[in-house]
Amino acid sequence: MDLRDDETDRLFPVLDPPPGGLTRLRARIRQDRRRRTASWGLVTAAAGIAALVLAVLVLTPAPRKIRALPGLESDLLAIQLGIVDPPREPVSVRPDLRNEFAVRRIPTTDERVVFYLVGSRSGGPASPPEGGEL
Amino acid sequence: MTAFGEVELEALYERLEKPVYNVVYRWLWNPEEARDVVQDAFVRLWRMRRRIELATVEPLVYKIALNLARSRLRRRRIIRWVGFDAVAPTLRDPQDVEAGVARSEDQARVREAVLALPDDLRQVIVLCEFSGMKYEQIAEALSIPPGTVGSRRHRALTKLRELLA
Repeated sequence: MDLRDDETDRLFPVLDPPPGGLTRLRARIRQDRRRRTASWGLVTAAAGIAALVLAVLVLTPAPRKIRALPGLESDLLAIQLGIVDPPREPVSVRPDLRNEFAVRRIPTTDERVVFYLVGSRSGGPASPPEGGEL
Repeated sequence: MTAFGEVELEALYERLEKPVYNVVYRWLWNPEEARDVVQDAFVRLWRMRRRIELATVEPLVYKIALNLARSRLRRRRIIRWVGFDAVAPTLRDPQDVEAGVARSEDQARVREAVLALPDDLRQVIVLCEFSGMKYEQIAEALSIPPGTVGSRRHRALTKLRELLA
């Protein structure tokens, strides 16, 4: 349907577009296709990384709880009830040093924690020999 | 649905480049910008190719092109308002000056008159004059009833005659 007449022909002459339009369009389409391919590559890579992270999270076993050594609680109870003897004091002064050093056990609120106070009988600084036993 | 590939796009471009350019030019009044908008419209059409029906693609091309032209005009107005574009457009080819001073004056008057039209009348008149589409297709491109196309065209021409008298 041609809606034009003489009046509109005069008002609106038909202009030619600048040359090379189709060539430009082809280049734009090629560029657009490349850009889209590149962005699909990025999306695929991101999805791959996300899947990998998810797989690691799902397949990694949960950390095990740290439990007390087996039998410790029952041993303490047995000591408290007098069924078994308490262990020997782990810190003691060697017989040949007993005139020089003294060891005193400091009680704490936790039976499983024991402090030892090591002091010099002469009043000087206590410097016990290496090796644990005084 | 008919396949819409690169061959179909190029055929469509060859058929519609000139009318779409003329429609967009009467919106922007700048050859380079009009050319860019036509290109942008066809690139957008290419991106939408899987969702469109080739048989009814023509109104869609004009719809996209007009939307892009309107956006560009808005952006230009904002830039001008902010003051980044202080330089007035100039005629590039000296032959234009020699060949058509009178014609340029006429065209300037037409341009002012067309720009004075409200958007709804302007888009109808440019589509009626350049697209070669039927009223039904123009109505589809503008999302208005077909009867409104005729009445708006009549009102636009009346207003143009008044402005150019």
